[in-house]
Order: sequence, then C-alpha cells, then structure tokens
Amino acid sequence: MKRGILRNGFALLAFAVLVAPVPSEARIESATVVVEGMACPFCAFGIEKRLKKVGGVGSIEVNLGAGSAALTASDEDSIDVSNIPEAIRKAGFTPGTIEVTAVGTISAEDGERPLLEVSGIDQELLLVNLSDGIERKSAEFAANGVEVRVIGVLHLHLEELPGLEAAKIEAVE
Amino acid sequence: MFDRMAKGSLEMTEERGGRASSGEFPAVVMVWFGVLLAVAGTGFAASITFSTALPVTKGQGIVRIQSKFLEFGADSSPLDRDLTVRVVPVVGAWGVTQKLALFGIAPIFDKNLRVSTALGRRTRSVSGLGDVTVLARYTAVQRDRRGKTLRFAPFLGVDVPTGDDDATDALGRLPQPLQLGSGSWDYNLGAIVTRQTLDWQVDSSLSYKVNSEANDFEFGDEARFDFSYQKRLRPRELGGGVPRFVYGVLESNLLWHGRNEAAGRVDLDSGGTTWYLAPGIQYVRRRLVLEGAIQIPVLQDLNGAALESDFIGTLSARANF
Repeated sequence: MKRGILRNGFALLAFAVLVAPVPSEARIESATVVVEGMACPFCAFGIEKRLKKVGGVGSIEVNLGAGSAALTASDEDSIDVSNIPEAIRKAGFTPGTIEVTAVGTISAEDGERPLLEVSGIDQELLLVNLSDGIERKSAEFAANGVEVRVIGVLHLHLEELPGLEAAKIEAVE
Repeated sequence: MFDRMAKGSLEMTEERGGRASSGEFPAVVMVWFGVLLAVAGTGFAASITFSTALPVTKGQGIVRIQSKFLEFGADSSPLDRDLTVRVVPVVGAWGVTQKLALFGIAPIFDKNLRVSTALGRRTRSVSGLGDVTVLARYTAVQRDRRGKTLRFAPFLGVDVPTGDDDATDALGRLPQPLQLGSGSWDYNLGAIVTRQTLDWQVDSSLSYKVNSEANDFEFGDEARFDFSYQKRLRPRELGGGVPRFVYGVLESNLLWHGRNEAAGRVDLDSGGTTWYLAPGIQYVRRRLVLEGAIQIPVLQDLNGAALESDFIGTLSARANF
C-alpha cells in the first residue's frame, strides 16, 4: 500500500514535469546556432562580430559548411542566449535552431515550480516537450538535488521564460 | 562612356576651329562604374563589375579599393584619338541597420587624351578627385535557408559635384567630358537581385542614371543591365570552420547611353550601346577579398564617331572592419 502511494506520487511528479514546463536557472556553457543565409567566408566575419557582443560569450567557431556558429561561454559565465537571434538578424541573416548545453540543478519544491540555482547567474529555462526517459531522469535529479548538464534545443518564443527541449540530461561529475 | 570620350574630342576640335565631330569622354561614367563597384563590396563574394543585394552587417564597415584601367582607341578620324583612364574608386560602406547600408565612393582619376594635330601629337591630361557618390541600399526581400539566400535590394544615389569641372591646360579649358567632375548633381536608382549558395552565386542588376545640366552641358542618361555568375572552384569539398574560397567569375554588362546636349543642342554623334563580357577570379577570406576581371567589349553600337572601348581591367581589394 505504502509502496503503491510512493509509486503513484512519483508518477504524478513525472507527469507534472512533462505537462507543466520546469523552470530552472542554469549556466549555459555553450550554444550552437544555425545561421540561415550564410553562404561564403566573408559573411562569417560580420556574424562573429555580432555574436561576440552577446553576453557571456568567450569564443566563437563558425562552421560554414554546416551553416552554424558554435559559442562557448567564457570562464564561469553563462551565455545570454536570448540575445543570439537579434545578433544574427543584425548581421543580416536569419537565426535558426539554437542548441544549448546548460548546467544547473532542477528542484521541485512542494507546489512551487522547480528552480535551478547557480550563484551569480540569473538565467532561467523551462524544460519542455520532454520524452519519457528524460522526464523520469529530470524528476529523479530534481528529487535528489543533483547538478545536471542538459543538452537540448532552445525555444525563445514561449510566453514566460525561454524553453529548453532537452534531448540529453546527465548528472555533472 | 565611349561617346563621352569622343565628346572630349568634339570640344577640342571646336576649340581649334575644326568641324565638330561626335562623342564624349567617359569621365562621368567612370564615376558610375565606381558607384556600382562600390555597392558590390558588401561583405560577400560579390560580383566584380557591379552590385550585389547582400547586406552589410549593422555596425560593420567595409573598405574597398579598386584600380581600373580603361583604354579607348580605334579612331578613324584624322585626330587619331587615343584615351587611357586610370581610376581608383575608394569606397566606404556602413551598415546602418540590418537592412539599410550607406555607401560613399570617391573616385580618383588620371586621364590622358592624345590627339594628332598640325603641330604633332599632343596630350591633354588631368588627375585628381572626381565627383563623390553617396548611395543608400535597402534589402527589401530576404529569403534565407541553411547555406543559401535570396535577396532583393533597391538602391538610390546621388553624385555630388566635388570634382573640378573647370580645369585648364596650355591649350585652354579642358573639354567638359575630360574634366574630373561633371559640375552637376546626378541621380541614380536601381535594384539588385542576388541568389547565393555555398557552391555558386548569381547577381542581376538593373539601374538607371539621370544626368543633369552644368556648364551648359548635359550628359545623356544611362541605363545598364548586369549579370554575374560566380562558381566556387576551391575548396572542392567543404570541411569544418571557414575555409578560403576561390571563385571563377563570368559577368555580363549591357550599357546604354543617351545622347548628350551641349549649349542646348543634341549631339547626334553621342550615346549608344555597349555589351561587355568579363571573366574574372576572386579569392575570398574571412576579412579580405582580392579579385580581378577584364571587361571585353563584344558589342559596340555607338552613335556617330565615338571612340570604341578596347578593354577595362579591374583589380580590387576589400576588407572588413
């Protein structure tokens, strides 16, 4: 009986993680953005110039063949991903998919939205469209307060906070 | 431009009391070339002899310096005219917004016109800054996909009469078409379509220039249709990062010039149509583009006895900052 209640409670928690997006505050270590319209080497300079102005960016690696730019955060900084699309537009191109790697702790307190806290960094992400496996792992990590690394596609057009469609989640060693 | 060159001969002939011949000197057209070349340098592997629709990044500057050599001859008249023009258009471009770019073009000329006279072969020369062009280009249509883009950009510009339009030499005042500047405010407008992929690029431009009167002289209006095809030759396969590109280029320039007016009279021997084909090559790096092309006239249907173009050679360097 007691075991059944626990199992049901865990299932409800997992369901809540899936249905209600999970806000988190995280450090974004890296981001790879698709730059639509970039088709020659001379384009790359303007894109790099604009992306360097995005907060927290330490280095940029443009891949012309892949049509993307990979951003890595400077030490202890978090990339301000919300400014990436505008930087691409100012360079004269169209931003595509943004894949990020974010580090933080998913917490789910009673009745409150789970919060990931990283000292000195104020950036929050909602975990959305989670698969069953990712959903279960998220719930476990939230319950145990484990620091996790999440890799997924960013969604910046949600009503509240930016969303992260996690494709991979693992505990930080 | 070729009829303008001949126009120079016309005025020289008149100064010597001879019968007025035809033609004009390509001074103003040189500036026009400068304009078009300027717009081409917008941060991309662009056409060499005219404009592209691709953007200048907001807050980004581009400097483009070209060296052009033009030669005209094949004069069947007793004057046996022979003209060489060297022009260095210095171009600055700035991205005001993500769609609006401003260009400034300052052409520096060195013109030498040689003619046969009763006293032997004479040369009339002039050099210095020509008319500065200010131009605005707006990217009105933009369709981007990964590794490719389609752009459409109209542009509007004005030639400011900064060049000396009253130069003289030992023979007196230089013919108006030989002057560094036209003395008039001239206006140009046009539109450019660019399709660019990682493997090739096509640019096509249609433009028109309205010339106005100054010094009792008015150059005929000008229209041109340009097309450029650029094919990536190196590297054959794209790896990671930003490799250096080498493009093979083939361009086409169809130019029409209206007849000039001098002292209120239409010069029936000025104006005409010329079609150039221009093979070229481009070396493109992240911050630098080096390029060269030779425009070869394959068709010249000129009014009257205007001088024909032999060729136009162009070397160019562009840099981002």
